[in-house]
Amino acid sequence: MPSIVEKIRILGAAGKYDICASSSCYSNTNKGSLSLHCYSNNRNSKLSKLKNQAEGFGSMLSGGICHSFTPDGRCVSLFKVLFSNACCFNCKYCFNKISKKKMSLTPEEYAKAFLHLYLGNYVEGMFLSSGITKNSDETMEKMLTAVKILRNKYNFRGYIHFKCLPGVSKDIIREAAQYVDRMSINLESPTEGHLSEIADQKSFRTDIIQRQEWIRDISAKKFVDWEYIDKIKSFDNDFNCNSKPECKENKYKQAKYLPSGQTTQFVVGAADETDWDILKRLYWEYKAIKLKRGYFSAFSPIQGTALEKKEATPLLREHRLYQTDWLIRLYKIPINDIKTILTDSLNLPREDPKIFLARNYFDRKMPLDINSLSYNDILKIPGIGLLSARRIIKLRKQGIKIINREQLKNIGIVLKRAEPFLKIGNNYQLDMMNFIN
Amino acid sequence: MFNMKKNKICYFVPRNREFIKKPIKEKKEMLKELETLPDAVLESNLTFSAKIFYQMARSVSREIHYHKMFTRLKIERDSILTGIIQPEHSIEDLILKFFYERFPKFTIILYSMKRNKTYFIAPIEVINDLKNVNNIKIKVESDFILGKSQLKSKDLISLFSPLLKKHDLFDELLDSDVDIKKLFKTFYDSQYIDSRENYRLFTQNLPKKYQKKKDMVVEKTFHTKTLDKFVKN
Repeated sequence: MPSIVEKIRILGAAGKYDICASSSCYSNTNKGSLSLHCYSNNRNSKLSKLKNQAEGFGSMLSGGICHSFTPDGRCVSLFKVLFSNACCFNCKYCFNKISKKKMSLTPEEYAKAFLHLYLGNYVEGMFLSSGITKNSDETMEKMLTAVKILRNKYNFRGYIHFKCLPGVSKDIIREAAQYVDRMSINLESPTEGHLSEIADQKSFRTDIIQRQEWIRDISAKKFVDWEYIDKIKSFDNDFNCNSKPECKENKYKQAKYLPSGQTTQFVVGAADETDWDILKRLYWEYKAIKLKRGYFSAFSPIQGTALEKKEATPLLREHRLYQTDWLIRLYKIPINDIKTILTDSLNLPREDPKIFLARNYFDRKMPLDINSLSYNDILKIPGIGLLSARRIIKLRKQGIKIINREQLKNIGIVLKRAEPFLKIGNNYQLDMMNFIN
Repeated sequence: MFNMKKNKICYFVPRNREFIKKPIKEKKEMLKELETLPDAVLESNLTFSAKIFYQMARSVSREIHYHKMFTRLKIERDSILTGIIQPEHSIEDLILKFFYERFPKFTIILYSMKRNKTYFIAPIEVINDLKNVNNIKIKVESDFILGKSQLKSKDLISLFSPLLKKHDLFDELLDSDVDIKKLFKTFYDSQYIDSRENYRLFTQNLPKKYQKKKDMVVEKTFHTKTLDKFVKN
């Protein structure tokens, strides 16, 4: 019988290619609402001072914590180990196909191994995924027992990311949503045609998109815990929910299913899809599925699989996709504007996409006066991010104008990228056209 | 997105090591200047003095964040967690509060190497037993006690363990034959993808100062490559 350490060595290596694993913190989730099992652990609220507080541990109050970094620079924050590497599907890009040793952990072993590392401050939360042993329902029920052991027996209140397997039934998704903070199901490719080339046995529409829609419907629900409100009243006679301003945020009343939402992942380059196919699908996911964010994993061929002779996707392509994802999600740039900067082969340009977008937006208006631009226009200038733009607007509200280069540098702007577009005082960067004209 | 507001800057600056070393008169003048600076100027480092204050506060908050990430804890019996920290600024109580928020009802003991003292945080039930103990200073908060002493971690563990409630669930974990350091090492090694090696990004994320920490054993072995690896590539 192999030991837990041997199982984790093999199942951890099998699970490392699943990249949509970053932890989410309470302050970033839907304001004022917590997951079903976590809202009692909010120490800033009155609830934490009650005597009959559940004896739980674990929290999601701090974000961006990586307990270690691998030699490829990636963050090790979640306990990312497969539940089982035996899989009845035959995906051509998958690492599990070539592994000779098929193993699986029991729910108790999984929970205890995670607890050892969490109590030692080695991991921030759990990322639970698995190969499909017989069918999706049976595998997901076993995974759920590990989660229930943590939540019910040990009173764990921290972060759990639960992977939804393609083709699973709605009842299991509904039950899992009560215990976990985030769920995800991997799209792998943007269209049905592309998915059929790399994974024949999965149906794009019924196995994947339909499950995403179910997760979306379940996460939109809220509930009111009247029993807990009565408990507060029994301890605090002056507490009157309707009169206090805190109740407007509904901190005490409501909890939310899946407060960290859902995410997905694309394998880039395995099925010869273009960047435009991926971005179009991603934009639809943000609008229709209310996706939290998308992740991209550059394809690298694994020996022994059907795609071993295919070329590896360059990491620069993955980097450019992440940059455009941020432009769509946080800078709110419309998808049709991004189509204008694509090459003839409908892929993103090799250079920074923001520079191309800025040249299209500000072609005849350059050089720009930063003291008169709106917030949305400031964001479109290369070298200026969300933080710097907010600082400029806040300074303007207090009557302070940007006069010289040093001020821009102190604010945090990358001058090398921003200067070609800006007029600072009476100075602006000269072009070849200035000398010709 | 990291942006410190004025109230946080005013909270962190007095904890900075360089600020603490200054004479009292200069400290008072600096605090007066801090309060008079407008919010927008301070939060965006617009002037020279604003930049100094912002950088002081930033180094304190960065050190707190790194300690949240890289402090390794050891599980002892009777719900006690111990660890080693090396802060330059005076932030021991903030680190303890963070861990207590994560592990309420646990007692957390951290040994500070720079100051050669142990700092601890414990549930408030223990207060009556600690009042008359020598070499311990206590500060009482709403739910917990903050304290520091010259005693070593082992002595504090033997002091606390008869006073605390027993958590059979967590003591069961200690009875299992799992070596946590070996478990973390196998897990860490399993997460690495060869084709994505990037030493520059690794050192950018994990500064050398924290690579040299006593607890960071696993990460140190990365930059000890053998000649075979270069020859094969």
